[in-house]
Amino acid sequence: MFIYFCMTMPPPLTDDAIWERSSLCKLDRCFPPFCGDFTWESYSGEKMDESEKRRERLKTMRMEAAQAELPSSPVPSAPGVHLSNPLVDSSATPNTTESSNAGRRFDYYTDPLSAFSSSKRRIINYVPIHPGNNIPMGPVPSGPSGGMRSPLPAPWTQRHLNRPLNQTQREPSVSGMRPHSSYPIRMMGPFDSPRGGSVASSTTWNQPRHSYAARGPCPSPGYGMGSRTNPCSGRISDNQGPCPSPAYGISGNQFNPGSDTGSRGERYGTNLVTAKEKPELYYKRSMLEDPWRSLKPVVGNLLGTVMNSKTPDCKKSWLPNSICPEKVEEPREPLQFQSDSLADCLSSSLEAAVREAT
Amino acid sequence: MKIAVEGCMHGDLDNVYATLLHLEKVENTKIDLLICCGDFQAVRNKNDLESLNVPSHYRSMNSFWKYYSGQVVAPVPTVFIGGNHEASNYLWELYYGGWAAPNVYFLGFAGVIKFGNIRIGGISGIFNQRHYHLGHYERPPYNNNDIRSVYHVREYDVYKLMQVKEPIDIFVSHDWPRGITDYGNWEQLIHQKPYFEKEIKERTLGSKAAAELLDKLKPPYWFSAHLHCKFPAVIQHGEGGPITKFLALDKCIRGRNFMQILEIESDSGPHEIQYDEEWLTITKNSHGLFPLTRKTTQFGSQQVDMSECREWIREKLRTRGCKPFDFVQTVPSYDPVHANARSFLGHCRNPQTEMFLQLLELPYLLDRTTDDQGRRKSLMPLNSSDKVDHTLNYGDEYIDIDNLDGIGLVDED
Repeated sequence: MFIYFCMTMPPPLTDDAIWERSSLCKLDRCFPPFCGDFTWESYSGEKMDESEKRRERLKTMRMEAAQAELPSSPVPSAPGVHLSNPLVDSSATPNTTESSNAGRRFDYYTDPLSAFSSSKRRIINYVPIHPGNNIPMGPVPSGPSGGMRSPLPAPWTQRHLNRPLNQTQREPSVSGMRPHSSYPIRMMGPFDSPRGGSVASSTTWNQPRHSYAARGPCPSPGYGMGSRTNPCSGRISDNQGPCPSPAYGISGNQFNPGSDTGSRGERYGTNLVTAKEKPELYYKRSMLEDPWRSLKPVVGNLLGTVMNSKTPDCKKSWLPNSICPEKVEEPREPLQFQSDSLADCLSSSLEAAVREAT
Repeated sequence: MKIAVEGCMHGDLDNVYATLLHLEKVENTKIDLLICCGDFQAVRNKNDLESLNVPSHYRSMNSFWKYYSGQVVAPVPTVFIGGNHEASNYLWELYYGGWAAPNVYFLGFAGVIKFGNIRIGGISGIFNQRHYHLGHYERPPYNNNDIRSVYHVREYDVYKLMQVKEPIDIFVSHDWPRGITDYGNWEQLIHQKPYFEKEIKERTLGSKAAAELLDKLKPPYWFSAHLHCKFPAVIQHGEGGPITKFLALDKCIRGRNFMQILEIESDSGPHEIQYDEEWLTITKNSHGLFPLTRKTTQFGSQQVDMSECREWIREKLRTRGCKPFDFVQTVPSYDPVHANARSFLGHCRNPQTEMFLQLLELPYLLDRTTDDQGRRKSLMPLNSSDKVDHTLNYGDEYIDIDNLDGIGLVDED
């Protein structure tokens, strides 16, 4: 059930408008409410030529019209205006001129609250989310000064653009292992420990060392590069099988990177889309930019206080301005007395105090 | 040399490496090294989860076990330190550093290595004053208190790093050096992370030990993680002094600032991870002081003359070479088919560590279970119903971090 509202307020009537409406009444044979007890018979006195009578009649009509405009009288809208119901008439296309007045008129067949909430959603849609396209908003890079080693300059990658690197040809130069390490592992017993349990026999788990054959149900086809093609790329939970479903643990938010609202979201949802699947969600261009570009070195000592800075002391200090430590006054020159008499001393002191006061 | 730095790994090696490979492809470049700033979660199997101090909903295998098992190999040489979310039993095996997986090197509880001619130092764990002056008394399997204190930085490890005299190029700590926020845009940081405002204002945010190390070592670059946000700062150590560029990074979540690429002047490759001569000298020279009990120790920052020891180490490395000992598996890796299989929970002597100590002619102490008076320390783990010592304030070490992740994490860029 819809309620029909018409909140358009009519303009104040002028004499001409009243006359025009009267003419309409005459032509359409209708009696608009503002006509009151107006009758055709009374109006038919056109034959009266006297201007005064005509003026009085107009005055009477104006008063009647003014009474008819009281708020207690329901005023239907003009019969020619059609308001479409967007919930029923889906094909209705709003008039462009009317839509421009939408902010001032409320002429929907709808729930006002739902209209409001939908407009809020539209506002949210204006916010672009480009997870892999972060543009730094910081101040203009000023370049670090005095560094012992130059950090990564912003355009450093340009130097490497002409040096193609075939990723697939990366040598798996794995450090820390040799082909057949057979060092006898010395396992300490579960000394003193009631929870120590039994030491697993080395034969049960100590498979041929460093053969790097695929173990378990998630074989890695290429040693060294297996991580790229391993079908078990997702996080494996305690209670999960070897190849958990990608849909496991969805807790929302996965399509809104960078807006983790839950403290535990990254464990159960936000990293569900792995960097193997969509590395662009993890990679940020700012990872290559100088993070210190907008900072100037501050001279100081972590074990003491900040000794010097470009910033004012009060800004550096945690104290509020009202109790900012006072600057140490420069030592004054000692007063020079010309004579040894007490009167002279007092006089000199008084003069000095007056000088300082002025 | 191009180095990628990553914040907290949290066992998400698959996504970090995939991002790195994509970056190489898009930018048509090659990354020589990946440095991870802690919370690596080198979980090899289900048992290692027992040593990982995280809320239960974070306790999952993630992807390190695939690299440990050899099923997948890290495409880029990777160096990492420990944070406060670690398989602490495994890192304890490799206290002096070593390969946690092929191509994945743990820097140790404190350590310095060389990659080419770049010298990289680091300290694992986070600072907590309550345990700072204690020894490394925790042994796996950990009880409910030890699992929370095992990753607290100890003064002994800081003392060793304080002995370093030759310049360090890159230093890594998990928590930020205390006071470093004064040297960056702290207003923006507070705007992003308003719940840090109190700690920043009270100058209690970050590691006091890391601040002392930064002030002593003055490396050109210092990287951290832990607070799950990106924060750069630049400090100049005195008028005309050297500059340290500090950068903290996020953890690996899409759309977040979890990685940074740097280009550092270096010699031409090929580069590989090598032992550092000075660090080995310090390790050998200070091994007799290695505290392994709850007894309070005070090391200070006194410099020790190590010239004789240095010559001995130089000769050793000349004979044997500087390449670290090879990776060896010490426990079975996770098997998804037999996901609930359990094995060994106690301490395991890692062959890498044993061979390292043999090289330096030092005794193995990591499984020592008696204090200086010969008393056996308790290794009985608490049951789940046993009480945790709530007088130890561990809450700020992960509750604030993990539970507030989603708040105010609007990318500044």
